[in-house]
Amino acid sequence: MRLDARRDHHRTRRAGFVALLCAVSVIAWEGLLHGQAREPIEPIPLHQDLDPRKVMLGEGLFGDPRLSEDGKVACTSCHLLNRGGADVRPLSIGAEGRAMSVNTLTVFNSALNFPKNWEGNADSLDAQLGMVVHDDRILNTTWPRLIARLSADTALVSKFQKVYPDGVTQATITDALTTYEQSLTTPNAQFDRWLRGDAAALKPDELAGYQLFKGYGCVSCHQGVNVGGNMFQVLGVVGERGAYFTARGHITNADYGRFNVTGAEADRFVFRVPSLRNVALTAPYLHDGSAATLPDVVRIMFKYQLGRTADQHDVDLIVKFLHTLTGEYQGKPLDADDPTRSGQEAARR
Amino acid sequence: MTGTATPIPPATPVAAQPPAGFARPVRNWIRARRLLLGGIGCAFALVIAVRTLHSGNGAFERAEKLLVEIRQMDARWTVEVLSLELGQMGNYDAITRPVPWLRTAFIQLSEVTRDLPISGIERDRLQSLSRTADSGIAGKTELVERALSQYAILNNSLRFLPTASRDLLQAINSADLSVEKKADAGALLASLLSDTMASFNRDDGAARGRIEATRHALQALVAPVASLTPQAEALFTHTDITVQQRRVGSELLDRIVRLPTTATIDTLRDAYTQAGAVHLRRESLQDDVAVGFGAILLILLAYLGWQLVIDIRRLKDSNVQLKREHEEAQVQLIQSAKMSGLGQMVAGIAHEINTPLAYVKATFSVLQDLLSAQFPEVCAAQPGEEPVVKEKPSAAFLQDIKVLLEDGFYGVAQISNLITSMKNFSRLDRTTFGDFSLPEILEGALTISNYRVKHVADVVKNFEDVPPIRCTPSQIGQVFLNIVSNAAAAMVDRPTRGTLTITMRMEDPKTVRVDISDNGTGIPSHILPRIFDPFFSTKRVGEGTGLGLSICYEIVRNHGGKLLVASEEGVGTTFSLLLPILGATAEATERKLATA
Repeated sequence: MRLDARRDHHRTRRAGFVALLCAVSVIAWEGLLHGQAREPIEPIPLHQDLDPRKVMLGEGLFGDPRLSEDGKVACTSCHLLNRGGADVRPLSIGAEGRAMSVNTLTVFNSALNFPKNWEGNADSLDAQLGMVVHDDRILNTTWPRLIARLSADTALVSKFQKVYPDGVTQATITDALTTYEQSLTTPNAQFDRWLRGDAAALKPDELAGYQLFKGYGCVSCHQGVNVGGNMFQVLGVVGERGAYFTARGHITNADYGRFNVTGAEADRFVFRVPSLRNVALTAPYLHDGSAATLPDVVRIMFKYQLGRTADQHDVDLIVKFLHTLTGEYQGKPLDADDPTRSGQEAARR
Repeated sequence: MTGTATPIPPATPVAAQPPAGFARPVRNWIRARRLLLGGIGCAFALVIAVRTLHSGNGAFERAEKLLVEIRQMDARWTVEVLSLELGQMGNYDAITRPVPWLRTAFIQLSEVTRDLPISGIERDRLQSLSRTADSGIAGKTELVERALSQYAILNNSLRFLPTASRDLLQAINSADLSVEKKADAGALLASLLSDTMASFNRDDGAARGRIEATRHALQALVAPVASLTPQAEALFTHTDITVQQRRVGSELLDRIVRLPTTATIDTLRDAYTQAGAVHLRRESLQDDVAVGFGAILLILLAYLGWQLVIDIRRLKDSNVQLKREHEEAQVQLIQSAKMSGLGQMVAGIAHEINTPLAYVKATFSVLQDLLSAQFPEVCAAQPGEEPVVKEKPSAAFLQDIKVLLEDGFYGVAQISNLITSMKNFSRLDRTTFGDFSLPEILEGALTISNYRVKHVADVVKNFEDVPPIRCTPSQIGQVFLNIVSNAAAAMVDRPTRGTLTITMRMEDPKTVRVDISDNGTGIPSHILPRIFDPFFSTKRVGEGTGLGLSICYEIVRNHGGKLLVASEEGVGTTFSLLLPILGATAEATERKLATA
């Protein structure tokens, strides 16, 4: 009986190995056959199936300063939806006037990132929300106190009870907020339309910019549906370790990035690659908010990540491509309400 | 002398106790069976509850399904990660997405495990195994993340190498160098590029050494020329990156492939399958036990049902017998009460007759004295001898005799009256049924009981006009006699004469109400509910049968009426008789008296 089992086990393993080989071959063949045709970036889905009542509840909470202990900080304090879902300041100011240690990432399409945050210290939107609630620089509160503040509002409680029989609890608040965050995707960008086969969606310059984006190797890290946001990379691939930080000066603890989470030396100066969706709207850039414009950050990337220099023309073309990544929210281009848009356009030309 | 009128409390009905139903053993058996039935019901509920609780709601199936999915996802993930080796530049979402999926799947597995119908130890074992598998996945995730970073860099450098080589070659060609050196540099450059590119597919120590040597030779060649430095630097940087990342990357992939995640997941799956099999065995055993238990219960239930059928039959029989015996007993009771009533009556009548009889006797004695004084010869004459009357009787003498005779007749009439009353009252052995005047029956009863009442109380009668009622008069008379006798007995101990108040009126157009109130000692409240019980008596043994009132109650009920009592200790007692005018049926009374 035991011998049989062992024989079976061997057989299973052998079969598994053969299957693995086959799978690898198939993927290889697919790569060879369609390598040129398949782009490393895919469009954001146009539709999602979310409960609109939960989205509405979450939207209300997202702008509700009662989430914070001092009643002054809401999610929207730092995630400005008319500024690409991020903060215009290099470092956001949260509870009690305390400054964050890294630049605020956009909330748009954050559901498509894995893991979350610059350090990749949250596996899910739920976990990310839990950190925001307790962080003394952001909401600076606890769940029981937050629930107590919201429960004092009978109108809100009855609204909750219509959607969630349990009423206002940690689980329901989290569900409403994360459902709303999942609704914050920006599909139908110019580039997505091009990916979907609309050849006219990109102007020749923008298409040239995309080819350079691929040719220089930006796409190695900025790929996938979110043009990044799915892997880690060290800031400073080429040159001395930490060269970027030495050049910038005054290294802070936040600059150690993922090292702060894992404690592994290999993770020093490592960050999660940010998504480039709507990147034209989310200045300033990098985890330290040190790059004010897209050309600035593109040049930094060239120097420290690609180990190359690019001429001004190529940088301009790449920046033009990056502008095509601005999507739509609720059917409206994300930059429609941006008061600085015309200024940026002018600066770009 | 009349006793002070005392307010009598209003009559309240006191129902007679129903006859005690069954004998004690029968009652015990019924109670035991009821308990047994309840027990069987509980046992059935228990069996069903156990079956429902232990069904596990398919938790094992869910766990197995999850584990199959986890295994598939892990395998697919490994394939995706290995495809990095193929150098296909692309979309890493497929490599990243399994991570949150697996994390969620393990959380679900933990939740499902919590629902599994297994012991705490077993559950802890499964949870610990699944934690091991989960942390295995976490370790794999870390390696995959690093591999991703490495391969992104590697791909970039690989892609840049031809460009960098071309740039350097162009620079060398236009630099101030000898033709030989240019040719050497070109050859070295070509060899470096091909070796480095090739290292992507075949990475070994020899290749790495060759690349290192070529790199150094080339560096020595171009170093003296300052204008070549940037291009050379770029090429060397990316060559180094390629070689280094290639090594690190393949090491990482090696480690990933060698990770025992699949084996761990298989172990986990085996553990769940085993736990499921054990549970299934236990559950089927429980099934068998439950079915067996259920069968026993059913047999027991069937037995009880059969017993019930037998009992019902037996109960029916004994019921019929009891009914017959009950009727016989009742008839005998009435008979014995009648005899007792007769005894009382005889005593009463004898006493009543004595008075007028003494009177008549006295009259006759005076008459005789008078006669012997006036006409001694008449008195002295022997029987058969003609007396010689010497003189004619005087008018005064005759007048005296006339008066005396009248007195004698009066006495005789009184006796005759009494006899009539007694005759009226004692028609017990005749089934008389018809419309009779209630006051007449009452008067008869009063006459008979007069010898008892007259010494202790005055009788106050308030009779309104009432129609005759349909009844058996001897029975109703017996009721009155009984109540009046009791009332007299209650008033014996009064220091002053009592009052027996009898009122008769219409309660409603169909009912006559007779209230008989005394102001005697009253009935203690703890006794009151029992006074209609058969054989209940407060009298000394030999003085009463204890049947009087229970028979009264029965008689009134047979007449379709009600017998009510109200009493207060020290104040008095009121018996109220409510008799419907057309209440009794001939059959009801006849049946009672059939054997009397």
